[in-house]
Amino acid sequence: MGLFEIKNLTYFYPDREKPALDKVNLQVEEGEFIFLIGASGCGKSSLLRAMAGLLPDYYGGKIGGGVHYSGSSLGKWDKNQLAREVGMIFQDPEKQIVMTGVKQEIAFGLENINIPYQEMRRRIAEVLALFGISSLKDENTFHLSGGQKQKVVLASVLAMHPKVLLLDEPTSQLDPLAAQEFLNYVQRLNMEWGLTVILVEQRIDRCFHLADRIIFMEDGKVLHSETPRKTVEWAAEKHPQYIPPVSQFFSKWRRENIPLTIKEGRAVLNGMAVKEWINPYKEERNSIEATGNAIEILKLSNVYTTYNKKDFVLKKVNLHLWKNSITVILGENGAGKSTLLKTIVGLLKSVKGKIEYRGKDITHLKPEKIAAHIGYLSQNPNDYLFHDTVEEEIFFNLKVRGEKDDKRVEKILDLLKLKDKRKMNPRDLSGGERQRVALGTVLVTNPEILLLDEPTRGLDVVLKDELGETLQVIKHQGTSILMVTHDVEFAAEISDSVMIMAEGEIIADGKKREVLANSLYYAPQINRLFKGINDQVLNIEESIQVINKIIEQAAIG
Amino acid sequence: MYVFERKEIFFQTLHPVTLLLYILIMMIGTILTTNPFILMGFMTAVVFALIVAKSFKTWIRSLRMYGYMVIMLMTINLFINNMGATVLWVGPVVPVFGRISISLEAIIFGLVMGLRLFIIYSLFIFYNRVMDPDKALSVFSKVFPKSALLVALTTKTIPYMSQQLQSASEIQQCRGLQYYTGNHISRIKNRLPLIKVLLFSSLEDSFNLGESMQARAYGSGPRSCYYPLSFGGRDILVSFSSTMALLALVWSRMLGWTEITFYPKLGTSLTSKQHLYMIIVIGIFMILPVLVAWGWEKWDYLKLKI
Repeated sequence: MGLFEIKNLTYFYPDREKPALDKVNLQVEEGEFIFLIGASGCGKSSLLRAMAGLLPDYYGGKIGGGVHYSGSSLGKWDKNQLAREVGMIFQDPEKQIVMTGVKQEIAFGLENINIPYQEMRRRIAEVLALFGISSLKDENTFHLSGGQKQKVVLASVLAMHPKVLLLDEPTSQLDPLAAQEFLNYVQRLNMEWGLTVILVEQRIDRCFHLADRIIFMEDGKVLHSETPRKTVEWAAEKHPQYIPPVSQFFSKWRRENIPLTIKEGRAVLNGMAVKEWINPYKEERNSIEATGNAIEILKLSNVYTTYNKKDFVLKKVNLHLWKNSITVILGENGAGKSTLLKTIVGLLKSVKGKIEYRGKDITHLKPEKIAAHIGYLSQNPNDYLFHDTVEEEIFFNLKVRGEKDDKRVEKILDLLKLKDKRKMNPRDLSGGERQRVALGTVLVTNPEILLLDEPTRGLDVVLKDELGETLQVIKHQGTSILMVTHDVEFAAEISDSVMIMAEGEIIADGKKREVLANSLYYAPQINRLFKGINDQVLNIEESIQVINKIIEQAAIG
Repeated sequence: MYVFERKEIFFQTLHPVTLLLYILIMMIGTILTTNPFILMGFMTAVVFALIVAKSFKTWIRSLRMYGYMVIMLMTINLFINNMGATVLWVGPVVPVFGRISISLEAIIFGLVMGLRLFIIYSLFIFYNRVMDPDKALSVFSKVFPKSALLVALTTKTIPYMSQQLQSASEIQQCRGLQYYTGNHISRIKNRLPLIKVLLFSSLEDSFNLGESMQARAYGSGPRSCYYPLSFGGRDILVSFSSTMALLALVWSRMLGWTEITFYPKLGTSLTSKQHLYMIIVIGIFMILPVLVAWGWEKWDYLKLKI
């Protein structure tokens, strides 16, 4: 008998006609590492909540079927006892931390389950050491970085000594380094302590190979539940976006033994590759900039910005943005990427240097004046939403300028696939939809430049693809895009140019292939797979061209 | 922006019950008293307490906002209150308010009210500086689980809300709203969306926080406490002092020494020698914990002993 036995579980959120979970049957064995995948709203988070005993206790709604843990129905479990057995971690660390001190936050769960003081001290010291955060023990949680906060949350749950860890997109708000570190801890907890882990995560390439079993969900149902390798074979045709890029590539030309990691992929390629230089990527020479017809729409010359009048957050930044192009800025946290966007839109004033829009100096213009030409989408779409309906929210940007609708709202709703949501309250929409509404508010004024700050944060693969397509449409309609992101794969897919920032300076600037290909840290997965075979390959389409050529040459040879 | 910081401060080392007793007695005393001499005793105690708690600068910086508020209240009282007998100036007749006149009693009443507000405002700053919200939650949640949680979360949320207000304000500016140009009414109107954004986001965040707390068994049964809280020498000293001040206050009130009459003519603030002694006793017991805190800070021997 499994640790969790889920039989015919059906659940409706209050006032919803469609079930969030639809006759789910599942068995989870002790010590298993399960990776739950599927589109946004498919029921992954609801399933985790049901397993944590939060459905319907916290949300209300109607539930059918049953969830059994250790042989007893969850309904019969004492809540206090259940929390000792099953720990759950959510997306945003800021929305989970209750206390102001790190030690106190870890103690919070222990106090709730009535652990005596001496035992509490021991457990706190242990988890602090386990996660390497002993130096933070006296810090105020407000001052911690996102990654540190999420580690504190994990430590707080782990201190309760649970047997099961349920993780609902725990790294969605973290930068890649912090996310990787967090996932490494989760893997260790499973491997070394035998914790049962059930993980929902958007970083498919980072998690797929860690799991013992992959569960694919769609419309509240479990469609597939198998080992990673069998899942790759199953998903290759119908749901390729849910498998790692390496597997996606290999699945195009083989059906069995599809590699899951770069290591496995390179072993396959090394066995058959003709290692000679193939360079089918000459198209950039014909790019707008290279032909001399490029229109420079934004120019930054020697821009310096500071928060405290002492240390410069931006130093000697020079930037050129060309019409009808997408430029991506990559860099570590604290490199100055978001500061750069805020400086361009006038929220921060540069203390030195010049910012020109179409040759006109806008360095000292107020944000509301700059907003007429440059749209800015921040990391948090919730900051945009306060109207009762989606269309009112989008129209607001025209209203404040005293402009008429002229069917522009209609066009934006159409472009962003929000027509059926137009009368809905934006706060009732999902994360991806909220982001589209926020983007709509920016686009409705037809800005010539669009600045995006981490637009893919928290989006699943499908939504990310849709965003990429939308950005390409906007670009072809005449808008130039400058985007900050941590998502190298997304950057490789949609950008024309890439910049890398470090310590407030732009340290690399060029065509995407010049910057990304052969980079140690910023190379996409496919590029790393082809390292030494063709260093210029950035995405799956290009890699297929290369592999076809290799096969062709091998056949001729 | 207010963020609670743990520091080597005497008052932060006290048992939350002791600390709450000391602050509450001063607060209730201020609310129940109109005698300016007793109020001045409270004021001296709270100002010195702020100095010992190393938050004098923060307090001074925040006084500007308080100053505007008090001046506004005093001015309104001055113009609409016609009960004073010692009229200093008579102005024109204004519809609704009648004839405007300024009396000595109204001025004194305004000053005393200003002083009371000043003490209460300063006490809030002192509370925020010295009361560890985590400790307070751990201790008081056993007796008042809901109120303790509310206070702890409010304290924790202030810096986050301030951050959120900043980013929401930036976004609305980028949408074309003018905060710093245009007339006052349009500026205020343009800030209304911020309140909505803040309210909606806070509600959503609270819901998520509640879920995380439920997942960690909050409210599911008896709680233990992370703090090895016991009443030490310092707690006994401060609690004794607070209790004595409370008794003196109750006694004074029974004798009518805590209040003075303002209208139509000012009453006496000091009726007898005994009245004066009682005011001194209240002042001493309110200031004593501050002196102990100062000694604790300066004198290692005292630190070791209490």
